[in-house]
Amino acid sequence: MSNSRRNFIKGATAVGAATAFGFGYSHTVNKMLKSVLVDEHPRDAISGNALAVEYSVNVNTGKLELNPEQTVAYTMCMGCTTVCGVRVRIDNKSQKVLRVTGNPYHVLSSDPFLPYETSVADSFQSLSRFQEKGLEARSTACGRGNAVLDKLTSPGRVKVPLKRVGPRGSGRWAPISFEQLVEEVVEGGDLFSEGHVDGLRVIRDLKTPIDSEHPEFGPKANQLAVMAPFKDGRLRFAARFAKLSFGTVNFTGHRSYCGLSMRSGYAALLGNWKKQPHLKPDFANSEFLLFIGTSPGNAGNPFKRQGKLIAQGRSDGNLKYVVVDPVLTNSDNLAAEDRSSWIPIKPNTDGALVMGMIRWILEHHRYDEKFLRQPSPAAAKAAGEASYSNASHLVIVEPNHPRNGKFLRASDLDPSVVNTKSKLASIMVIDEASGNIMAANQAGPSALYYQGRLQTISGESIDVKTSFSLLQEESNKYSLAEYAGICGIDAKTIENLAHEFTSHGKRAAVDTHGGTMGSNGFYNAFAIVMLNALVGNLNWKGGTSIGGGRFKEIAPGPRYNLKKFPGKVKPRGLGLGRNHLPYEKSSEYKRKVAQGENPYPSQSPWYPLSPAMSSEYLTSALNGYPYRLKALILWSSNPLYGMAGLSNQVREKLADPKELPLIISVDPFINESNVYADYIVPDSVLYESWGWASAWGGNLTKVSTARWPVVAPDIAKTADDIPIEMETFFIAVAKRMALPGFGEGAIQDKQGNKYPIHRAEDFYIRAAANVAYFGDAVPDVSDEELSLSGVDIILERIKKVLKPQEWRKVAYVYARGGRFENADQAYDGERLKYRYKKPMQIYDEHLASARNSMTGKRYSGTPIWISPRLADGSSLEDAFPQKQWPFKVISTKSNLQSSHTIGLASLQQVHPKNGISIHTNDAAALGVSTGDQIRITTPGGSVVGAALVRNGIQPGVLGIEHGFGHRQLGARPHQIGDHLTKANPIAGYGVNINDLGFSDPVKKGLSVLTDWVVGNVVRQGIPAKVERA
Amino acid sequence: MESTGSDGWGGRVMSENIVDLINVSREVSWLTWGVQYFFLIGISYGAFFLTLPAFVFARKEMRQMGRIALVVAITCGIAAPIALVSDLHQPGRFYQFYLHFTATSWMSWGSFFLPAYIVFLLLYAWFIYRPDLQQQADNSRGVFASVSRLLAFGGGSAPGAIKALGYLTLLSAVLVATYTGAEMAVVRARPLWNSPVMPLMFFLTGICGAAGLALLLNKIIGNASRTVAEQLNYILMFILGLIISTLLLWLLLGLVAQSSSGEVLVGLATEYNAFLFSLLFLLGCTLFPFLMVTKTILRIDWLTGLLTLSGAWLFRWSMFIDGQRIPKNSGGFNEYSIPLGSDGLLGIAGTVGLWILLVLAVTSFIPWQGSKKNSSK
Repeated sequence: MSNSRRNFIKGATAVGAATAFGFGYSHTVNKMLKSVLVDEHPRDAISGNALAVEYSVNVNTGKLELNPEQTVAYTMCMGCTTVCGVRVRIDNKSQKVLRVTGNPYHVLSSDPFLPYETSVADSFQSLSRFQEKGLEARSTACGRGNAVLDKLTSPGRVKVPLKRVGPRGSGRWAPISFEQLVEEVVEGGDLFSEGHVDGLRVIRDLKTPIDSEHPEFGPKANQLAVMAPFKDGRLRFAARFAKLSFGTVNFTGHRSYCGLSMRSGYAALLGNWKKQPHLKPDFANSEFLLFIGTSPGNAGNPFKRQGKLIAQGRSDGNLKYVVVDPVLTNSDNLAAEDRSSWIPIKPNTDGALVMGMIRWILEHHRYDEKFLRQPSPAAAKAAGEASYSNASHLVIVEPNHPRNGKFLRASDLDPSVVNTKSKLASIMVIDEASGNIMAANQAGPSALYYQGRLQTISGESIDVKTSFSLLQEESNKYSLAEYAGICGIDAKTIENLAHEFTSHGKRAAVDTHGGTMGSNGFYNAFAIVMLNALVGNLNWKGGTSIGGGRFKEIAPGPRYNLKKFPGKVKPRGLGLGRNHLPYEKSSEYKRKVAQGENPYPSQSPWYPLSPAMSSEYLTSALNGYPYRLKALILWSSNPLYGMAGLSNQVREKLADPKELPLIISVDPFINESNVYADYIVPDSVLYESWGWASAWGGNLTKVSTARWPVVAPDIAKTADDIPIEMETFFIAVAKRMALPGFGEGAIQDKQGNKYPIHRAEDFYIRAAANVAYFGDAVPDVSDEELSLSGVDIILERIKKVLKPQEWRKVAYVYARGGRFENADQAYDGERLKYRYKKPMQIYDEHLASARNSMTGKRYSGTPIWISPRLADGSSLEDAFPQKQWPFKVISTKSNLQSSHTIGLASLQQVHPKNGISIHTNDAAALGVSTGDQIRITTPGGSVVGAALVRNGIQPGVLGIEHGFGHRQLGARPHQIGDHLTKANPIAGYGVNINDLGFSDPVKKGLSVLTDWVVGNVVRQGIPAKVERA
Repeated sequence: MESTGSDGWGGRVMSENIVDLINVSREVSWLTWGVQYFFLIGISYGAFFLTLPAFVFARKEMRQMGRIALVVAITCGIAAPIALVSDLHQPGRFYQFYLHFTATSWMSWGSFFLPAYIVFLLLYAWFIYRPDLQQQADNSRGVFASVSRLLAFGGGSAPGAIKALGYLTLLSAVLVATYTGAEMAVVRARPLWNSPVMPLMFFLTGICGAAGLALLLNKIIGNASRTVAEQLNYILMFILGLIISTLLLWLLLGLVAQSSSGEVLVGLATEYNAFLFSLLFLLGCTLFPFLMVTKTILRIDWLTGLLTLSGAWLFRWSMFIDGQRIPKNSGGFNEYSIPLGSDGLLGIAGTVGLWILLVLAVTSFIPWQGSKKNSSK
């Protein structure tokens, strides 16, 4: 090689190497120079540019030092239905909420929570390092609770009243004044140049029946339906308008498409179908918890509390628990070893598992016999029990007896006996000691297994069986091996579960929720909750609790009567969901019978057991069965997104104003439902609103959580300078229509003095007075606490609304974010302080008396195992066979997303989309791996999404996390006036299981698949097939 | 957790379907720069050891090899700390090491060992090159001559100084080798690293890589001396033998569950990153060159050099980056893809570029092969 050539190669190599070196190290050099040249110093050497703290506590002296630029306030979160008490930090200058954490006084955010009498200053100190107090008193908000803050400042918020200017659903809106809004919706007219529309004034006719041939439908006022969200603290204000003032029966929340199956199961167990109370385990003291179709700590209500308590229990306490669910969630924890475990199950087969357990428990006498044998409260008390059951109550099982299926009353044996009002004085049992048949309230421990013929006084004989015998009969219908085959859990595991569950006395409990939302959901749920009765855990420490309740706010309270008012309407008539009235009492039934026709089936099923059926509102109204709607108000609810199958069914008709002439929405955002509205009224969100909520369950002491506007709502105001929110709208409509219960003289105090409702706070602050004065009144607030707690912000309003002696007590309540009973009030020895008084029902007479309106067949009064059904009780499998639909789709709850949170920027960052969970073996058979696109097709629709291949799911099941696959909430643009909003495609990521729901082939017209007994919408176990997309 | 399942005969099977239901994804915090530093410093001290017979123990027949090894030692030795500084996420603050000495930290000790080693090494090299620089000054003209003269600084030969500095450098090299291995071996949270094998393997692979690089340079910048190649092959035979035995012992202890570090190593070789570790490193970079140097199969020197050099790098990559990918508290194997920018490929290219520049500088300006007169000595 020549020298020059060598030098050329050397030179070229040098240039190349130098370039690589230069580029490679440029970043390093930059970083080094930056620290020297750029005068950029973080605010703090350790905390960097993090927000300044709201206050600091001297670690040695405990002295509190406030940050004058911020305010701390205790109020309420609304990220999910748990509605925790939280602590928010407000920047005084910008009036923005900076951060959210837990309220240390609040049971849902802290364990242990602070005694209520703790001063606000001490509550701040309790969270600090002073004496390491903050470790114990730590109070938290969850990830969603922090992210949901974005709602306040979301660019997608509706801030002024909107009126559609294009066809429904076109996304073209005109901002209008509040005054125009109220005038148009009340008076009606040719509002959209599409012809005349009746206004609310015309619709509110409390006299003329909707249909003179069907007087049971009630008056025309029922042709307004109001769909509300859940008990978010403002529900009872909306109810006051809709039911008590306007007078429609059609007002309800979201239960029928949320958790109706579980609530109905408990309604049957606890004998209260109207209110549907439910039990929650005493998480802190249970030794064994069985969760079926619910995931504590992953989601569910109370989200944080149950998560924290089971985590504590499995690590420091004596808790062992099992989660039975088709999908593995965060509820199971490997580190807890055998303290926690997950058992996968086939969807919709929980009932088979539990009936198998019940069979084994009965066969092996593992039930709490002492508890079950007590037929009355008196007997229970004598036996040292905390509740009683109807296990020993005798049921008539004589097919031709007029009272077949009902409890045997004294009058059935001797017609001359007049049954007293007290049920227990007339229901008969076999007293064990004497062997005599006697009234339940007279008897001591009674026979559990009696079955036989009894002689009436006239010498006739009646076949009777005890409730418990009937349960045994049902549980014996299948062998353990058969139950095992149905649910996919082997018989040995079922036995072990039953053995473990019955090995902890009353310190074992079962809990269930949305996993039971299948077409056989009611009986599955009833079977599950029956396990609690078999161990007699109700009202016991470590057992189950009805909850501690609340300080009655919206009530005939100690200061103001917020329930009754002059002119209050008692709404009457048949609910649009054909609920709460037996079909047999309808004009349709009577007419058919009169004409000699078979009255069955009805056109669509009736739900005599269920108290409210918002899930049927839209399909009923559009089918005109039982009747049509003239106006619909959607307040913060989004049924088209949240209800399986509904959107595909009703979208087209809902877009046609002739089908439903007036749709008004009150909502801070445009969602999949109110995109079809004619008007959208803005609403306050989160920390801008007033309200009074409580814990939904899991609280053993009284809780009343205050929601109050710690920041001014970022929405337009009325001419009177009142922010335009739900309350403002209803007040204005009511006042314009001169409805009772709003405006002047709407509220009375004990002395009969009258007070007005012109603004939201006129109602909620008086509710606060009821809270403050409930039982022993709370102390007066000190001046120091007023400023420490941020109550200063609303002090003028409190003083204006209340009497001079009341405001300091009310401010004391607001300063703590509500009123909370101290934790030491939870127990009374080994029992709970707040106890459920009625019996645990092994057999529900009300249920057994109800008939399916499609077949006329009576329902079973005890739990049964029944596979998924259509509305007429026929098998879902027969209509949609496994061969054709080999998969089952289920909905799983998200630990971060709610149905309304997809638009939040910070959640989009951490969790922008969901996948379709599929078992490894199923994925292998399909030849897909994680991330591949797959298409799910069901009888109702199809979706394409990314496969999420897991071992943690039952084979044959496709799991879809709820909260994704939106079409609105920012996913598409809207033309508002001359402004076109910017679409955010992330809001539309993922898939929504509810696009896969389908109509029930045995129902006429538009419908969705529901449970065949109580009508809960089916989102679990939707038959499906899957392929590569 | 659903990350591992049983394959039915008692072994562990990695599931490819790991779903972290909720977790914080831990980023790799010791970056590719760290791999480069450990690689370069390992090669440097390894090469330095190869110079000892020639310059400290006066083994003349080893002198030619020693001179190649010395180029390797000083070029890699200079490039190494520059890579290290880049691995600091705030490189401008490296001086903090010297303001806050921490006796319980190997890294803190290392901040003194490393500069000591570099300084001794350069002095050692300088004393070796000094007579040759003087010669170069005398034999050339112009700026080149004056610079050479300046560098020669008198130009006398000082065997005593070389010997003394050789021992000092040896001491500091051993300390550097110890601290680099130990600062990983003390990390209890990472079972793979938490083993005395770690410093030993760094030491052995350092020498192995150095010999490999010397084998390559012998071809590229040297005169492809057969003697040198034979000597290096001979050394490699021993070192590779030691490396293979150490690895086998390590794996064996893991297989019989006597070493948790070994257990993770078995995992690395069979499930976590089996391709990189077992296929490329174990088979490609230790076993295959061993077969070549022992003449079991056809010997190809440049391939031996390339493979053993790659082996030194791959071992560090596997321990460093893959080691950090083994999750501490969740299932599976954390995702890591090498970034294109200066935290990744560009950084690696940068260190390679720097090293090439240094080699060019040394070979252009310094009579590294010795002057005729001196080499004939």
